[in-house]
Amino acid sequence: MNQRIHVGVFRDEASLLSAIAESQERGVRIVDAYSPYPIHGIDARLGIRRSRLTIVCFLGCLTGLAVGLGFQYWSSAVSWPVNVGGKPFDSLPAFVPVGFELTVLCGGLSTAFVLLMRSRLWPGKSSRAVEGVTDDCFALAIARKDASLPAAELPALLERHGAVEVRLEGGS
Amino acid sequence: MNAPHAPAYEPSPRLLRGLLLTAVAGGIVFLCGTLIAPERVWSGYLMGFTYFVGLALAGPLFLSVLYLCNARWGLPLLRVPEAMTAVLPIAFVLGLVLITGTHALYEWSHEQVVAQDPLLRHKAPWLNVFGFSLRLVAYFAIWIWLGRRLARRSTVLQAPAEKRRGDIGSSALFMAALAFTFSLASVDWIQSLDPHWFSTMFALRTLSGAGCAGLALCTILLVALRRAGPLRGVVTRDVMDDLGKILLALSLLWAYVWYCEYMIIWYSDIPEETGYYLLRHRGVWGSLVPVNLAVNFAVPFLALMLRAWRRNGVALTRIAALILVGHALDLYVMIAPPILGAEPFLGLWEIGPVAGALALFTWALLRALSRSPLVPAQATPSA
Repeated sequence: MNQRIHVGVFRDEASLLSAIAESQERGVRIVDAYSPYPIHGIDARLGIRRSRLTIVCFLGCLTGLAVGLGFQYWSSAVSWPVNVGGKPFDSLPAFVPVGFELTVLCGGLSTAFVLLMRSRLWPGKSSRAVEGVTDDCFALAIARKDASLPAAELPALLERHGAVEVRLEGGS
Repeated sequence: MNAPHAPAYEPSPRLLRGLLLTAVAGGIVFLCGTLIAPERVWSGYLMGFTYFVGLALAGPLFLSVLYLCNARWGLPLLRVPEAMTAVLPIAFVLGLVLITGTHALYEWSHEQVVAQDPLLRHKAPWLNVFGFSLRLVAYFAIWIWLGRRLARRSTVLQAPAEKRRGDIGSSALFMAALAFTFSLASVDWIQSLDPHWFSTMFALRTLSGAGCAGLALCTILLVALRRAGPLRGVVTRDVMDDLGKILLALSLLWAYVWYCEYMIIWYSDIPEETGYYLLRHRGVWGSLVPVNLAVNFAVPFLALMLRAWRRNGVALTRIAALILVGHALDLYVMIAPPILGAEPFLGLWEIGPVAGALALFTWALLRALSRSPLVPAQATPSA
């Protein structure tokens, strides 16, 4: 079914939240909400499930730590032992900084890449997101659930809550 | 926030009496100890005192962090750190008592020892009893003055913009002053137990430890007040989640600083610096080091990663309590070795003063907490 999505652009958090509240009250389908920063409690309000990204991050961190410590142990105690200031070859204190850095690096990069892949954002892909939502704008994309609501109601709803711009997208 | 005017908290008289009795018992043990085993009881006293001061200073520290970050989620919680700030004058009295114990604790306070030791002679302009006492009074004067200023902020009624400017000003001033004075104080009180040793990371280690323990205590109190009723609806699961995250961050900070200090000294292996760890990393002391790292860092770090545990009052309280025990162990490994020597020992002379100081702190804290409504009026949505 070809559905038309109305996107309203707001200037502040409060307008966005009040528009969300009315949409939910009137049974309007909320496609997505955009904000330049995380809004407290908006996940619960939109009924978004808990992100599984933390699991990716944890596994990335574990991998980084294992690789960091393992490689240092292998290189300095097994493959090519070098006496540094009379310290034991397998000196854990010396391995910690690199292990720590690799933990952070692998955790951060794997999280970022998986996030981009899951959001289907890759180089060359044009984004249909509203301009400014990564800067100073808030946006709400809504659509009708069924034909019971007049189509003209949607832009009116957005404007009532202070939308400075309402656009029509012919998405799915 | 459905509890706009939470009633004032009233601690049960039995609890207060129990705490006061423990504090008095600790005081009696301490007094007996000064006659029977002065060195050991004074090291116990120093542990109790530094633990006490650290918890009291964590109050204004937490307040200033909340104000500086404009953390609205923390506004309904302000009373607990404010009550911790109110305990500072008692810490000052304990500090005055500490001055009388310098001879039992500090090598540098003995003139004959200093006269024969070129390094101590060199440090004498700073490490002497008069300077020690004068600085102690100055630290507390600054902390009490700036802390009170900060703790009053939640009752100041002003236009939002002016109020915010005042909050930030008081917080920034306290932060800057604390960084400077706490560094000097931890050198005076703890680092100078090993007067030949020096470390630039030391102050940060004590500060992060105290901040972590202070937040752990805040967390325990807030969760208990939620369970008891007055803060139900204010300390939500989201707030507990946030407290757990900050606790995790502070535990991580403590471990980071601990490791930074250790690694540099371990790597360079200069006799003057390594002596500190040689004493603490051998024999039974040595086996306490991994326990210290586990209790203060590894276990809380892994446990607080679990969202379900951060949002569960019982689990969060247990982890915070573990950190409080860990902080005592951390102070023990910092303070006791130069006095006890090669083997650790834990007896009445160590436990008595520490238990007494902690009971006194909790007693004073709960009394301060009961003085005003638990939720600042300005934190309610209507204000």
